[in-house]
Amino acid sequence: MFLYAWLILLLPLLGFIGLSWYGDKIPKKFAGYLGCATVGLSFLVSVAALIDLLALEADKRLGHVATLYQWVSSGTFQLNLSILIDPLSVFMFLIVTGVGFVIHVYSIGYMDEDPEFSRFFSYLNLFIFSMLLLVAAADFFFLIVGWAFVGLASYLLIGFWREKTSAVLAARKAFVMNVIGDVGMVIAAFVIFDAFGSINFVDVFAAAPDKFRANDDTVLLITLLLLVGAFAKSAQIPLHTWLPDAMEGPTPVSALIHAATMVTAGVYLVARCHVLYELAPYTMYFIAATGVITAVFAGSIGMVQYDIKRVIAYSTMSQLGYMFLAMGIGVFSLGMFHLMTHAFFKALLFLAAGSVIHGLNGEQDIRKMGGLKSVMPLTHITFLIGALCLAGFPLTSGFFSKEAIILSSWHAEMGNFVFLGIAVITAGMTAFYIFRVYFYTFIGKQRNTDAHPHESPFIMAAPLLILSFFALVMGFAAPAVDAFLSPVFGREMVHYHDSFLETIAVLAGLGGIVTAGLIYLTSQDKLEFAKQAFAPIYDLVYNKYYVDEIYDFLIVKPVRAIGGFFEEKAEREGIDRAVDEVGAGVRQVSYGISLWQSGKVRSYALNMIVGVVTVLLFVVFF
Amino acid sequence: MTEYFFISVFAIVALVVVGALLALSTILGPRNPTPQKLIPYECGIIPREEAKGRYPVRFATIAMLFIIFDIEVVFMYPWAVALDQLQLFGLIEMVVFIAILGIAYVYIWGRGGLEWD
Amino acid sequence: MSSLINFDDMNWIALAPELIILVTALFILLVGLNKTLNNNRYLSQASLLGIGAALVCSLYLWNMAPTAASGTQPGMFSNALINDRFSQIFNVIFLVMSLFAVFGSVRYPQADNENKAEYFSLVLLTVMGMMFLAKSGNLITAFISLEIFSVSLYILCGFSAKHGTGREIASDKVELSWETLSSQESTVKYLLTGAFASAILVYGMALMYAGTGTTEIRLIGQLLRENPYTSNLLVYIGMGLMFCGLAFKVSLVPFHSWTPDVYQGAPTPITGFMSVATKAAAFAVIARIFFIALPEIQEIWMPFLFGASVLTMLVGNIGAVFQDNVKRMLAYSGIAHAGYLLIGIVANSQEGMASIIFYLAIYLFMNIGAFAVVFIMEGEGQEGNSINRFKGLAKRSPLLAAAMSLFMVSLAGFPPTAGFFGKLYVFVAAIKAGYTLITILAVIASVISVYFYLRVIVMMYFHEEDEEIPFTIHKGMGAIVTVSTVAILAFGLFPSSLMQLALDSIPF
Repeated sequence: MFLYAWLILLLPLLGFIGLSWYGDKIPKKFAGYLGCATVGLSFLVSVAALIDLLALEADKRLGHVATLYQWVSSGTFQLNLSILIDPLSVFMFLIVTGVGFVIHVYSIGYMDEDPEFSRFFSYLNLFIFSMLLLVAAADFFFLIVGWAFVGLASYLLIGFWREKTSAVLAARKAFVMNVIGDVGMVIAAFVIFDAFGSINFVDVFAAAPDKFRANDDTVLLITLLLLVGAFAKSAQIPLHTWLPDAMEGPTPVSALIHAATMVTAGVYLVARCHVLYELAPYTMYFIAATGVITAVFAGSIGMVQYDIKRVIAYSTMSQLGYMFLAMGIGVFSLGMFHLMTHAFFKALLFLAAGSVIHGLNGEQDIRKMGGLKSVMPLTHITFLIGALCLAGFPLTSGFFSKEAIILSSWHAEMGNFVFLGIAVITAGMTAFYIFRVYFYTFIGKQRNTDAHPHESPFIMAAPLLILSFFALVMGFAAPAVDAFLSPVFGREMVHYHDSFLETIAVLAGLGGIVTAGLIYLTSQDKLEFAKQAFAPIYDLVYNKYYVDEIYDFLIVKPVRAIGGFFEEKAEREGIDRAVDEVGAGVRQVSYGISLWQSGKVRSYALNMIVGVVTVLLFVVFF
Repeated sequence: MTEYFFISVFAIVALVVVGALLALSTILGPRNPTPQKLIPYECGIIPREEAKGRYPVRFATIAMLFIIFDIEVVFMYPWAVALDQLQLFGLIEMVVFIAILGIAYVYIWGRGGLEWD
Repeated sequence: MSSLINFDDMNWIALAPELIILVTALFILLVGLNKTLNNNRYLSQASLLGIGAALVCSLYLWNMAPTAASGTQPGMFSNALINDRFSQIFNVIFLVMSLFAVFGSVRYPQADNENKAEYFSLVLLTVMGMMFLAKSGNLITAFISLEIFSVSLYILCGFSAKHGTGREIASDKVELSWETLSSQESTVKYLLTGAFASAILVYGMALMYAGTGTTEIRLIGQLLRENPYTSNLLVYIGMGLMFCGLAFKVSLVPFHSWTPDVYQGAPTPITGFMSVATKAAAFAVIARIFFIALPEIQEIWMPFLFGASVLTMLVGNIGAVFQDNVKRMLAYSGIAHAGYLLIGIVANSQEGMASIIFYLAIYLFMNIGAFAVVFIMEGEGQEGNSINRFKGLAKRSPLLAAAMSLFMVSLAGFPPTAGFFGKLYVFVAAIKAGYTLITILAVIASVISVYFYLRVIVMMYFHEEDEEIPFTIHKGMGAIVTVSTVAILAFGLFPSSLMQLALDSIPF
């Protein structure tokens, strides 16, 4: 009955094929509209699927498999060309196509002057298709195919400006990291096939609880291998280094791929396989721990970055850490809810930042911005909304989702004090760094007088408004989302009420905002002002400045030191180096093989003799 | 296995004797090599060039062709001896065999493989 | 002594493809003597006629061949040859591959080469040897047919050398081109190492005879099953040596060293031809020996097949990373693919055999297509096959670049191309047989391979060309590229039908 849901996938695919073949031959405007139209239509079909699903009773919404045809059948191994329609996949469809559509529209304005406009849109459509394939997959095979394809699309989009060396390098890095994840997934699929004789979600999840006891070795192996993929895609420690670099791509790409959709694939994977993960509490614990560590790690680095996009990128990592924390402590639907709200406000932040960058002709350094409040009022207000959501300001969407996760990190069965503590600290950091950016960018005086900032055109502003609306109100949809997703996870979410913890969490957020304000509002601008107006009481001002120094010494310096330390030691020298070492190792071995290939027939004969002797030894003695 | 035993005894004895003789002569014999002594002995005449002379490659071609046909002809002896048992089928087989050889012969002839110049 | 010759099982009809090819080869040899007919055009048409007829025959015979279900005896000529669907489907593989060598004749043999007829004749004789090898039911026939095709290939490898007819004088110093030198190097290396391997192989066969008292493949299997005394050390050693000899032909590590040098030096049509056909032929006989004759002593041969497979995949894929010459790169890639194929033997099941056939059929199209593009793009001299020639191809010839990308992606095993399913079936067969470890190692190896396959694509799409490199797409090569593209896409979308065909064709 859900066969029409294939349209959701096929429309962007057709868009991709059409644009990549005929993109150069049709007018530029039309290419943009075509790219948007396919995603928009796909969104409408998703809504239709949602309505159909809601029409069913809650317990009948699961496991609808729409099969096109049987692709492979050999003995017990079967592979159907099929997609799975259930609340979880439809939920993801709506986010991917909905946010995707808005970002497509925004891109029309943002990429307006790019000579390869249609190529950009064909890649965007390819990405939407791959992402939808990933979430629609009804078995591990198509999951992996979608998984690999989003990696490919991300590679193409990060490296879209291929004359920019840093972009090409970043793209390659992202690709390599993602391939590491893919390998984990593929091996996991083999182990699953070995254990269950099937790679079909429905079969595997139905069989799993009877087949394995909790923390069985096989289940642990499967879940951990899947996690390799999930962590690589969702930029969790230690596979996270590609995400900040990926900001080299165009900003709509950062918004779409590296904030709203692709990076959440890992969270989706854990949610999709929650049956397996519930059988592996050890893995769950591991997920929660990694999530919370990533959250605080990325948050602390975010506090010292000057590139506006990098701050938001680290913030994305940090928020993904929250989602994994939610997954790890077993509150799956909360994690998915945070995924949704995050998609809105993070896309909003990126697009607003893109609007700033666009207005400043490509400037990304926040030290060279400032005072944009009056020049770009719309961008200012939308960015503020996004920042408030991210900081968890009461009654914004981020407040509802993050608050709930923080509460659960203590009250849920697997929650504990450490998770809670780090989650609260991170909440404070989050508020601090995003408002640091906000104050730097929009408040005070314009620091770089050469630039002539201008407000973005309507086609870029409209998406900002739409996203702001959703970012503000979607928090109230929490019960609806919970009710919609609960059949998938097999239980209603427990809602914890603990006014003490709630207050602490809110205070952490507000404290972060206030601290940022104190540091960054009272500095240079007022100093300049005071210098001119109150020359006689210069000393006082000097004292004021002295306060800043103290602040600087007490807060900024340590924070910068910690962040710098993480960035320098852990990222550059630790993980990046390890990845490089693997690559270098392969090259080294390859070089060794070239040397072995001496070109002399007698050494070839020697090889053969060695082979013969080895084989004979095996045969005779084993 | 007994015959293998005797054969192996013979082989071992032969190896030991040969080895011992060679070893003894190297150990016991006085040796004082000089360049003069290391020159190959050619009736007392001092050699002027490498003993291995070069000769045209077509010599080898002809030699190879001869050997190929020679060995194929040898194959006919056992066939001729057993022809009464092989009967008509055997005859046909040999005709086919000779026909293929004939094609090869025609080919070589046509290619000029039998010409010296 | 009256019934020396058994006339009952002389199934001459089942030999029709081989006989057609043989007659064509001899015919071409004689026709080449006529100066006016000794031109590429006429000779290639004659070869195509013979190959086409043999193809039709093979397909017809595939349908007629005895199967396990029909109950007729597969053995013929006193079990020296076996007439089953397995051999016929390999015939098809060899014949299709030979088309590549024939179409490649637009450039090789070169215009000033006087021995054009020999080229076609040798190609056909090679194919005939391979066809007999796939059919052989006896170690002796196997060895003879293996030698027929090997010796022919040795000569073909040296074919881009200008062949004199012995008229130049020894003292003449002729400046030889790079092609000629490398081709001669290729042929000499292949001959020397090949002779070495053949010696090992034939020694193994002799020991096998010493151990079991027979050279008949099916009989060896039967004896090992029924008679515990048959499985003795002589059989084991014989098996080991036979494996080494055959491992040389499929270039398993450490018997692979010849491959890059020979592939690079040999004329491209021959490289393309031998890259798949030799592998297929040797795998046919490996499959027969290990699956039919030696399944009972699996625990003896499993460890070193396993080890060879893993080593081969790793060395092949890692070795290819550094190659700037596309032919060398494809040579290493071929080594790696031999490793994947060996997994099918390790699985030691009917599915494993079928997956080998499937993989070879797919590999045929991927590789023939890739080599066709290499052939089209080929230039003169040492840099003639450099990867740099592919720079910016996407701009000049989008279709050719797209086709090459498809071949590379398929060789790397991305879904939904056919190459993915080739790997998938092999892996599934291995997992079912309980060898999950080897599939995991294979996946890791194939991840490494992504690097160098994608490198070609990156060269074509993301680099600007250094200089204008002219190339022409010949009719035959264009057809090969087109057909391969269609086949890879079609088998990618509908792999089940081909797999069914492969399952119907396993040896028995």
